Amino acid sequence: MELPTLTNATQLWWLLVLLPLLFWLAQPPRPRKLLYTAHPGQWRLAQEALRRRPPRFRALRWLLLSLAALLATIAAAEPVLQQGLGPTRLFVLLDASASTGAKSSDGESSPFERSLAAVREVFAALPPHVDRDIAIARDGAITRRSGSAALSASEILLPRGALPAPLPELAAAAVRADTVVWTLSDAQTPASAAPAEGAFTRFGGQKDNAALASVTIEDRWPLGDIVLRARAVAFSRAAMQGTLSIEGAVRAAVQQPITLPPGEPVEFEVPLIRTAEGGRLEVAIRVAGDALASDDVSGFELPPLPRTRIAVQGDETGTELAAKALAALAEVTGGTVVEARPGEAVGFLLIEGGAGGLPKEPGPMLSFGRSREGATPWPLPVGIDWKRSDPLFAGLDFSELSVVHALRDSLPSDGEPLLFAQLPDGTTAPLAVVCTGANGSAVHFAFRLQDSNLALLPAFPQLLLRAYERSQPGSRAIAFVQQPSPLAEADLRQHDATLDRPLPKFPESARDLSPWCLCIALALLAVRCGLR
Amino acid sequence: MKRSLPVMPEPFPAAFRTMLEQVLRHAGRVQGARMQTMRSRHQMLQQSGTFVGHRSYEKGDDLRRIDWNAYARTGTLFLKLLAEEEARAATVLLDSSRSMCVGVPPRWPTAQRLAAILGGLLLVHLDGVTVHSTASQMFTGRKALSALLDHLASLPLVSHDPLTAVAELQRRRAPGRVHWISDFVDPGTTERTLLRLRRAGCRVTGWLPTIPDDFAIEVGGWRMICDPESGREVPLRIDAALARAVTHELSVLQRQQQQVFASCGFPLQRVTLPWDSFDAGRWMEAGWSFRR
Repeated sequence: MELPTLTNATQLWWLLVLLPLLFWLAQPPRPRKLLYTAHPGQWRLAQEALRRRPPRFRALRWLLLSLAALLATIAAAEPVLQQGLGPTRLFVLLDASASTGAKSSDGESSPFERSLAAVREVFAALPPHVDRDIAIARDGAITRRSGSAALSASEILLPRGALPAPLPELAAAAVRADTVVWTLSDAQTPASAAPAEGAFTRFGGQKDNAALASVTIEDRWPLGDIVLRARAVAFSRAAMQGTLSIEGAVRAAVQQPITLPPGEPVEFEVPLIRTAEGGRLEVAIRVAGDALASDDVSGFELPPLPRTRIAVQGDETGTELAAKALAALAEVTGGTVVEARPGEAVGFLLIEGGAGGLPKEPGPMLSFGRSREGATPWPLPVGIDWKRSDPLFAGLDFSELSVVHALRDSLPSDGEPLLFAQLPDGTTAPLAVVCTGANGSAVHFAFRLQDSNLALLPAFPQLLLRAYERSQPGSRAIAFVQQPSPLAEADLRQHDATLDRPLPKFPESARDLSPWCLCIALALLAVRCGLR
Repeated sequence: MKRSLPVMPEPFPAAFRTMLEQVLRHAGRVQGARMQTMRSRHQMLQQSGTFVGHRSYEKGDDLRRIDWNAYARTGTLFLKLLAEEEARAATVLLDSSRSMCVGVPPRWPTAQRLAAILGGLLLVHLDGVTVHSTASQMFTGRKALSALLDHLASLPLVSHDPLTAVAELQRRRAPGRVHWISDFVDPGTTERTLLRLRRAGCRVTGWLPTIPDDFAIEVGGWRMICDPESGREVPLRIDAALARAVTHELSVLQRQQQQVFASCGFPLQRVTLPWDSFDAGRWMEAGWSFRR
């Protein structure tokens, strides 16, 4: 025989309060005033003459009241009696991978939308005592919801990504004795094949789909030239034709006609010139008859290019070498050389000699032999060495560097030493440091170009270019902001052909015993009221 | 669980002791002719006792007690000292059960003071008095008054059966005149006790120190009625009807008490002693009397 079960068993906690309270209230009143008497027999005779009895604890009345309270509490706990045997829980395993968002060209709803509609329909028809659980598998994770409101959350209604695990494994993990597992999938991929357990419903059919397999960008920073390589695949029975669209942070958008043969990836290489401001770059293919749109677009975020205004500032002894070096740098980076004047905004500043110290906040700057207060002459520094692990000097050879004279204590003390010279007392002192700040980095040398042979070394052009790159603020990396769907989700040519398995029949709705409990409680109260 | 009994006030304050001396001095006048008769009998009986010796005459001594033969032989006046064959004494049976503690003012101090007055009179006019409550103790002579008061003040309130007390008195051959001080709340037990005393040849005088609760009950709302003997408690609402019914039952009890004593041939004295005054005049006017 099936025993009743409590739907809201937490209501029984009230008994912990109710029963002691009723027991306390059932106690006879205890007067505070005491009267000793030598004539208890006369009191008793007087009560008998008046047919009175003193109030006293009546166990039967208390028992009836407690039973009534117990039944009322049980009624609040919503007792139900199951009508027959059967599963009491429906576990819905919903495939929300990217492939389930595919739509046909005739505008019909996607397999995922139809799955949701089917689940809602079944949930509405389920008896109220059946527990509802839904697991939505998408984008490498599972989202669990319970109850009839599980499908109301809007954020779960967009198919995306790949399944976290094959559906048969997920369904097998959810199998219980009292649970029916219902899997809804498009069965387009091996991972979304029909599980062996429980009910199964497949939505969707064979469709043609074109997808971006990969998009790569060859960056030539700090130059504005980039080369974009895109690979596209058509999962179809015939070749598909469309357009490769590149829009966003490039000087000229590209609309390139493409033809995709069935099942074979095609690579497109497109040279582009990025805008100096940077921004979002979107690469997409638009193919007629394409069922799945989420695998057709890829997005990037391009950082802004470094400023191309380059200035040189020197003392009266001449900046001939520095000007030549800047001209070469401007040619390599595509920038222009401008005159250094107060208030002139430049992207890179080269200082040769002079006095007056350096700016407190580091910025995009390369200085040679800038003198400041407290600097002392340092003739013929020897024993030159450099920091080979630093990206600025890595792979460069400065062994032939010779300096006629430099300035000691002219470099910022908080800079990172890169180039060293040996002092007469055996210690070393920096000849070049790099300072990093929020506005960029500054590289400072303790000698002028014209006082050394640095400009004549083969490593100088590379050093100049690296100093320019390193001095520029911000990140130079190009970031993916929108990845196309996994390629495995793009093939909609239907791998699994398992037939649907319907849901089993759930037992009828359980019988609510709350009214009966309340009626019995009222009857017990009536009996108690009539009991003297 | 029995409640602890209310604390009883000091039964014999200094004012009472002073007043007791006055009462004992003037008791003869108070008792009237009946006591005078008893005193003359006492004197006469003393003439016929056993000779135990002489003592010198003093002014005021009874001339009838002068030994004229000794005077003839010696020329000096001597009085013959005679001892009676039986010492004349009485017994005070004091009920010290827990029910005696009730009442406002409580009955127990009143009973103790009544016993003190009775015992004092017995010490003055007789040879001794035996006080029996939970145990017996005999006091002889006028000087034993203080010890009597101390003994009465130290008596505990414990429940005991009067029949057992009577059996104990018989075993000890206590004097036959018994002054029984009690509340007599159980007429049945009282009757059995009196009949047993009568069979033993005793003469009994019942003394009932009264309190206001013996006559009427006031309306008082919710009260926990407590029997000090059994400790049983009953919550009751004392309304006018219940107060009337209890008052009626109390009057029935008084009649039963009178009938029990009358059927056994013994007197019952209801004594209402002043509580808040120790004026000897008021105490002697309280209306109680003493008979041997």
